[in-house]
Amino acid sequence: MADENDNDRIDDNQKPEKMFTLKKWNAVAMWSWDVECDTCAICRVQVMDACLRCQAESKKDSYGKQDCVVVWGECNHSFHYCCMSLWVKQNNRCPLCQQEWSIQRMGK
Amino acid sequence: MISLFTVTDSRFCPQSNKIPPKSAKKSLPIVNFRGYPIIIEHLLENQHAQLTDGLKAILYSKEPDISLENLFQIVDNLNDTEHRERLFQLLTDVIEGYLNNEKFALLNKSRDGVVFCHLLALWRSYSQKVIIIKNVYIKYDRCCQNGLKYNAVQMVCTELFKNIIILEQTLKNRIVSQLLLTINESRQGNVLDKNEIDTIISILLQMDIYKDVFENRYLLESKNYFLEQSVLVKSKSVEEFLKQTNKCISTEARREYLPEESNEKVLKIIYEEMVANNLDYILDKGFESLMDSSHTDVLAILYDLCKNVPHGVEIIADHFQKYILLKCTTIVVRTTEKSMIQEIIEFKDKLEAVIATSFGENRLFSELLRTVFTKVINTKGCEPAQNLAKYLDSKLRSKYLNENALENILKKVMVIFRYIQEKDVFEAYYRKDLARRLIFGKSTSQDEERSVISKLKVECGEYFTAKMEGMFRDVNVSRDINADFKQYLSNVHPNLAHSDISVMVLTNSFWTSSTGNHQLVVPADLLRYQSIFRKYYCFTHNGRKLDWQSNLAHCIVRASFANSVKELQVSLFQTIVLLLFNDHDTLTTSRIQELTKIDPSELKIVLRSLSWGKTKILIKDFDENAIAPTDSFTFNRNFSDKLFRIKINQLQMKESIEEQKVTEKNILVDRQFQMDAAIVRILKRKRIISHNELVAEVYNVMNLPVAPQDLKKRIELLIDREYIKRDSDNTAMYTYIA
Repeated sequence: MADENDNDRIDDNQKPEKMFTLKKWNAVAMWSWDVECDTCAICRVQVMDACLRCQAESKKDSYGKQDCVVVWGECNHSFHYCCMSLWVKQNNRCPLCQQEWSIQRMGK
Repeated sequence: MISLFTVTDSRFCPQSNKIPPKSAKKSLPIVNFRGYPIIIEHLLENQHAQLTDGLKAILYSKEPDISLENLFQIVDNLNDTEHRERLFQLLTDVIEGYLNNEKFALLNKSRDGVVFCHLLALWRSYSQKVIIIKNVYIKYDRCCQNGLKYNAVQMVCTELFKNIIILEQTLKNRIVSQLLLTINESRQGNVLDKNEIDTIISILLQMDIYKDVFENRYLLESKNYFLEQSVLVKSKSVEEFLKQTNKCISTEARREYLPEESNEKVLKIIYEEMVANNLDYILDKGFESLMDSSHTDVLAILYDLCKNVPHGVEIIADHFQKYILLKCTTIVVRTTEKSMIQEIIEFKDKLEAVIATSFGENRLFSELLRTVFTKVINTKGCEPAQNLAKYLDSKLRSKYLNENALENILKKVMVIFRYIQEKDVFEAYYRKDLARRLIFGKSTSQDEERSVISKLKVECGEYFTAKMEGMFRDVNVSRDINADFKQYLSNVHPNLAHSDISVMVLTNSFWTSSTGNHQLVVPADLLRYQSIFRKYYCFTHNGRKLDWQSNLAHCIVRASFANSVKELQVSLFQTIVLLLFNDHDTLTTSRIQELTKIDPSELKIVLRSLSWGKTKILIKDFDENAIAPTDSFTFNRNFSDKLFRIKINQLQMKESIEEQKVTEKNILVDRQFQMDAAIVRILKRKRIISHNELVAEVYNVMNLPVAPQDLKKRIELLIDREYIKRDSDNTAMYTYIA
């Protein structure tokens, strides 16, 4: 972790006579897709992991994993983008609620 | 006939010829033939007597009455078909007489040693005399060549010597026992007269009686001797005994006066009597201690000895295997997590050194080493895998190892890793420790970290290290995010831009996440930063949500004590507690809990770390180890330390039992998936398979321990999920549902 800028204060407003002042803060956060159901209904793999196809292909390309993003439909259901793009070729409806599929947003 | 022989050598020119030349006789017409043989007979007698006297003189080393020249002439003259027989008879009679004489002289010598000496002297002088006699009889000899009796005189002389002297029962026994005695003395360490023995042996060899007269008894005697020696194994230490045996072998192999064949036979006896018959006793008695003390030189002797014994190497290998099994099991069972791997590695190094230096790099031994280690290590479930991960962690964090030393350790660890069956356990624990090292910046060397990953990848494939690589990627990505975030802050919140804050954003699925403490009362400043960062991050990364891992966050807090200002390296929990004392002088445990909402068990550890040991930032009212809800804490204004930056032991970082349980559960879940995959794969290939076959195949494919009842459960679940079904005719068969 970066130890530079040790001289910077977190909050210059704090009065120096205070016994304890916070000088540096190294926070840790986990990110995950903001989804209601954490499993992709098409490939049955957790949306956090790459979809089955990408996992199989990642043997060739070790960065394949990063590109397997999540897509949300207007119905708020979420799937792997890869899975969904194959799905809509056959059936342009959400596999979970049968509504017309249209992309609300995509993960990145 | 005689006249046909002409003497060409000038040295043999006749000087005083008593026989008148025949040519003179030829001119005479012979009328009355009767008287002629008488004269010849008379002449013959005379000549025979002269020859006998001459030969005797030669043999008894006296001045002969007539010259050798004349003797030669006599032989020459009598060397015709008619008289040859007599000539030969005469020679043998004289020699026989002489040798018999000498034999009695020898027999009268009482002591064996003297006999030996005299015999040698006799042989030497006899040989000299035989040469002279040979020259006297040279005409006879040459004549014999045609009759296929080459060197007849020499042969006869030797034969006579052999029959009369050597093969004489008493003398023979004396000679042989003297020889055996001398060799025996040399075995005891006396220096022997090699020349003497050499001569005797060569006589025996020359006479072609070596085997019958000497070798058979020699071998018998040697066998008894080494049988006697081998009993010493009971009284001597194994080391001494082996060294002695080795010495015996090298001396016996170097008896150059005996034919090589005999030496080889004796060696065979030694190997049999001293090594083969005692091998089990030797190994039972001393192998363990020799191995324990790494006596590579003695072990090398042992190995070399056993190489010459039928099944010798296999017998050692057998003991070697038992030894490893015993020691390795002791290590695995007895040692604690800290020392187990270190001891296994040390033990293995020791064994490898022994194999390399003592056992001639025999592959049999290295193979045994591998199988026994694999077997033993895997008897203790997941513990060794877990310990290996921890061992590696401690080495990767160590400040005292340079890269070479570390690389060396890595190689050894990888070998142990290969032995371990439950590689998934290793992966889980290693990843957990890796997370710590990455988050808290504890790794000594990034290169070595990568080196471990690439080694694991080679060993177990891409899938095994995918998450670890993801973790490294997260750390790098976080660095970029932080740089961008600083830029963003200076643009959007210029007043906060100088704050020293960094956020590590980790991908949930690579790291083992813990549920963040949502109730935690985070100081307002921090909350503000959190929300700014979250807003920034979610803006740049669509569709993601962030979970703050308060248990992993760490801070530097500046503390003003009465005499000095220090910087404290603390966890977020510790920070939150310390910051409370800006507004309060004294706080009880329960009050702190109320104010911070830190989990009570966690809080206890935090408070203990702050009021315990060398870093007593807070003073507890009772100086006890346990922390009760009513205990109260006060700021220790007089705290002092010679360092400026003080690291406060973050006790909560110690692995808790719950954490371990979570890890173990994750491992089990992963195993179930692997089992499912294995079952489905097998069925997809076979289409229809019986239960027993399926179980056998799964065991074959999975290199992880599988409990039969778990496997059964997985099969049931797969049937429920309609991946497979029981065959309608035979319920013991499964079919794949496409």
